[in-house]
Amino acid sequence: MRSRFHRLVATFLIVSALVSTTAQATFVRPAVPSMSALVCTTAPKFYYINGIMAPDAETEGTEAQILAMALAAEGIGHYNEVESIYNPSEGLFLDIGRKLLAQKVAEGLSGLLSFMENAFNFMLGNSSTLTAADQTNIQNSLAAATANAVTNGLDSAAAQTLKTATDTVINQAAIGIKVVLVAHSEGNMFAQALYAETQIQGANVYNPSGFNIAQQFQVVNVATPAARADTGKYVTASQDIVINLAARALALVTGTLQPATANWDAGPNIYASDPIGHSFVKVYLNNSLNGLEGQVLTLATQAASAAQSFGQENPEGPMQIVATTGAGTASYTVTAPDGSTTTTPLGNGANMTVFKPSCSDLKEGTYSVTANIVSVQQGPVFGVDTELSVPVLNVSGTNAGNQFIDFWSSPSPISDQGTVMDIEVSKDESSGGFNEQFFIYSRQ
Amino acid sequence: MLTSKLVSIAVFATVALTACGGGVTASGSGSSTSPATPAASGTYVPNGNAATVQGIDSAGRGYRDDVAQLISDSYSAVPTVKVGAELAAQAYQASLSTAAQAMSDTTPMIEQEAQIGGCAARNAGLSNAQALITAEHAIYARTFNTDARMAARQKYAAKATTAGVLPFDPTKCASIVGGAR
Repeated sequence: MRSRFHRLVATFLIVSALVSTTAQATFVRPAVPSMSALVCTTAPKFYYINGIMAPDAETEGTEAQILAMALAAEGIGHYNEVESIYNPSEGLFLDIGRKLLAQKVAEGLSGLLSFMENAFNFMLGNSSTLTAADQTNIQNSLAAATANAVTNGLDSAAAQTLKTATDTVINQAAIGIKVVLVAHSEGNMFAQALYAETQIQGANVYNPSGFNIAQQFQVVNVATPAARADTGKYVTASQDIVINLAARALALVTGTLQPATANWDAGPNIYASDPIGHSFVKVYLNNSLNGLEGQVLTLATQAASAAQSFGQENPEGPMQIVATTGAGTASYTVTAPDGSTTTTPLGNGANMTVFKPSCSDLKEGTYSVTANIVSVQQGPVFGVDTELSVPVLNVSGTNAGNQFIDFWSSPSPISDQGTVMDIEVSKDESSGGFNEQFFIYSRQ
Repeated sequence: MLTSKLVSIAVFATVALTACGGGVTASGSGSSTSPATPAASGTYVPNGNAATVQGIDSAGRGYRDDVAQLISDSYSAVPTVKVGAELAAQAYQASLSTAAQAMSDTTPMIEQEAQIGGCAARNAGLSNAQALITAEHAIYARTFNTDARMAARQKYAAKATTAGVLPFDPTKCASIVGGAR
């Protein structure tokens, strides 16, 4: 895997026009940044993915904001708003409802309206007046649907939604944002598919520039029917009837495949909150069930920490500036916002790092890069080429990640000097990192 | 982008209003936030309101009379939970409207549902989270209590063909919460 740095050098290139002159040229700063990126971010973007038993967008939006409030109460920072990823499982949920109703019609039940309302309430974790036999029947239907999602993967509707959602989520990562997916129940199968897309190395349909973003993603699996956690962080209550039943259904179908073992004893009070012990809000974000909510938030904290950001974990740091020189010599000076300077001379044919701060070194303000370039090639035509490159994230594809200066003259050797690049650094409160804006001068 | 979101809101509002029509004159309860004691018309109980997919909304709230009665009976003790229940009722009922059923892509409405749910949660606060979810689920269970209603909801959900991430904008919540009835 090539580093993001090398990819950007290959991807973004501005070549100044060849200048045939003996007079010194002027380097002109662009009016708008050539590119920008968020680096050294600490707060991830949280996405919530609902399960089949809380299927509609209304409650999905509610659950996402309850998660946001729980994160805030725990002091877990996040980038912008917690948002949900649409898991289009409502059709499957309604399928179960319609089959249950058809069954009762066939049995000649008179109170169909009451039955259906109670059945839905039970499926959604509310209290109901259903008979024990009906409850068992519904639990088995839910477990079978969950197991089916594991064995058969996403249906066509979910596959289409996955594409749209993956595009959005990867675009966030590509500008430097860390991402944590929190998935519940059957939504874990959706999360698993989405996470897999983010881990593809190299250029692909969602990541055409091949940015190395895989390590920016983490997943918290809540009540997962999957056999293993995506990034090792999951919690399932021992009393979660749906997952336990799904395990049996899966074992029946596959012989060996089982959901990840339940790993939290939520105590018997779980059923007072939810008759099937499975609801995201009423069970897993319930602060009165033997610390279950705390465990979910602990996993969220761990995921936020484990998700890597650009600048902190990559070897080139947030702003490595590399210079190369051919047919000439150059000297680059980087002036930091505090006035300190770093000067690096380059001999003919050199390729070296001239500046490389770490996240802890980075300061708000402008880093200014000046160059002093002299051609050494023998006449009658004297030429020189120099290149400055910086590691950045960018998704627009229209901006430059490096500056290529190439000029020649005749009949005498020439030199050129001036400011060739500014990098403006400002604190980004929402992500906890810095916004870097690169102004790459053009030679005119 | 802003324009498309505004269009989405406008579409949702239009659909919600369209959903109000039930073809029955007002029962006289009038007040949207303090439903009156059930009238003897039979429209306040599920059995009296199951003849059509959209059912009877005699007070023009944007949801059926029997759903209003459920909110009044079970989810009116905590004002913010009641608001959440009313918003959910409006959103669910809107999905059954003629306009929603005729849409080729229901994604704007699905996104607006998520926005409404998020606003209801923010309005209720963490201390009422369990009660709010319980109320929303109960409203769902009541709203889609016939096969025809379930089928209509399925049709509506299946047409959210361009949905992906469901955005949430807290700055829109004041007007959304204020629109509960």
